[in-house]
Amino acid sequence: MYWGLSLSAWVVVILYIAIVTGIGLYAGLFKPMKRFIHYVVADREIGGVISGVSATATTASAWAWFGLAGWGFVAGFPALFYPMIFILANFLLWGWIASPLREQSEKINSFTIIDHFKKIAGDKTGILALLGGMVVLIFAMTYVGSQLLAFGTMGEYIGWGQNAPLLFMAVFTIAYTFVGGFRGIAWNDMFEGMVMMLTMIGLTAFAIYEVGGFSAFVSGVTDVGPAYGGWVTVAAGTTAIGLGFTMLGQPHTIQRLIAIKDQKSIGYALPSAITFSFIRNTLPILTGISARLVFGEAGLPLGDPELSFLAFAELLHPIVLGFLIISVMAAIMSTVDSFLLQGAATFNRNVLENFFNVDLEEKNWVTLNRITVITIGAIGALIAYAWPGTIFDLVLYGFGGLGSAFGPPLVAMTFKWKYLNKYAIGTSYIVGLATTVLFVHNPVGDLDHTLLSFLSAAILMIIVGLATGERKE
Amino acid sequence: MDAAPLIVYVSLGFVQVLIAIYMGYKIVKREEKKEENRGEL
Repeated sequence: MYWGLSLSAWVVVILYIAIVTGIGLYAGLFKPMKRFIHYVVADREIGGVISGVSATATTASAWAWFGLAGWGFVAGFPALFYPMIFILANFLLWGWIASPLREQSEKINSFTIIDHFKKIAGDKTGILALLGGMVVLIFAMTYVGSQLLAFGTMGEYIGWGQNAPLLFMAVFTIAYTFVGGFRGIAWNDMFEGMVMMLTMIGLTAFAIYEVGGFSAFVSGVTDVGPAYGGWVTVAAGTTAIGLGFTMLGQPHTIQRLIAIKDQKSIGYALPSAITFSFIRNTLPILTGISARLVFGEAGLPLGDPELSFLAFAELLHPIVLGFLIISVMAAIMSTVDSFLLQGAATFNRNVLENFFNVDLEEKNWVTLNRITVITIGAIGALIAYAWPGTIFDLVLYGFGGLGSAFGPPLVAMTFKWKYLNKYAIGTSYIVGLATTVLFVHNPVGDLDHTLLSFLSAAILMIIVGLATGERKE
Repeated sequence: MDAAPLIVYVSLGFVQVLIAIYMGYKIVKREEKKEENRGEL
């Protein structure tokens, strides 16, 4: 063993790092990045399959392994309601929102969703852009922090301590985002998505085999208790609906819809995204349930259900731990890279350019974006280092906040709601941000905070829109 | 039926995968037809 891992596991990890670095470098050299559009949306040249898989991978985050396996371990079959809702939301995103959004974004020359809302609302003051930019920036840094902290926690389990892996993850992801821009991110997310899919399929198959096959799996779940093998509960149902639908408002996911090559590519992106969503949401839950049946609560690594999937690695060849580590790295990196770029693009385009009227040459915007990527990554690392709570306390803010702020206007825009004016959009930003903080700290019964925040932002957005009149085109 | 929730939830997810493949195919065909029409013009 070398620093907690076998030689074969180290080979897997190092090979993974080499491939991701290679992809990032190649993307950076593939085409000169002289303009904002090159760095931020790869000149709108990303193909359908890469867009679909990378959009799903970037939404995955560390939650895909830690959160879902832990949820399956604790809740059993009711947790399986979540993948169904998530897939449905993804269906709406690619089958319904993608086409008009892609068409409109090219027409009005928008590169981020905040930019897009500012332009369709005709806000010349820049206040809407400032507000949206700040919401993205706050939650992007929080989310980056949560993901770095997740890798630190995994490092602790392996015996690396928390700070060194956290720092490594920050520096490495910043480096390839800095060099490769959006093209590097999309290509890497595709590769990272494939890594996640293959490890999830392999580990889940082994986990169910270890339980004793499908029949033993079902009877084992029933033996745990009626609720564990039962239908969805109010708590699990509202959490699933809340998380599923706030997915619609994630700016880093929507970026894929803006950057996709053309309408035909959406036809390839839709099945790619849905198939990957099905695999990456369902299998970790089944693995978590299997871990409960095989190891029970006493046999878990560090006694933590969120690490339940790692318990199976101890039954297999040491190289498997290497594959699980790169799978977690893939989940984390595919999210962090996108938030770094999204945060930088949103800040520069919306806050500096649109609100403060900073006027730079195109190549200088690219340089400034790269500097901002480093800054956001560094602040995210500091948040992760100093954060006293758990990983998913941070995720609750990040995912819920972004989805609640941007989801309602995105859905309203797709409905071609004529009252979606600058006041309505601004209301959704403010209420989404404020109610996320409010409901995380003041839970309302069993209801999930993301659902409450999303609904609050949507309802107030509708009221303000109706009160202030139709949008002027 | 002990496995009912498992079968229902996983099947509904899988059905969405099948519908997505069909819809994706239709979108590609529609766009190819548009491209053809543009070529003829």
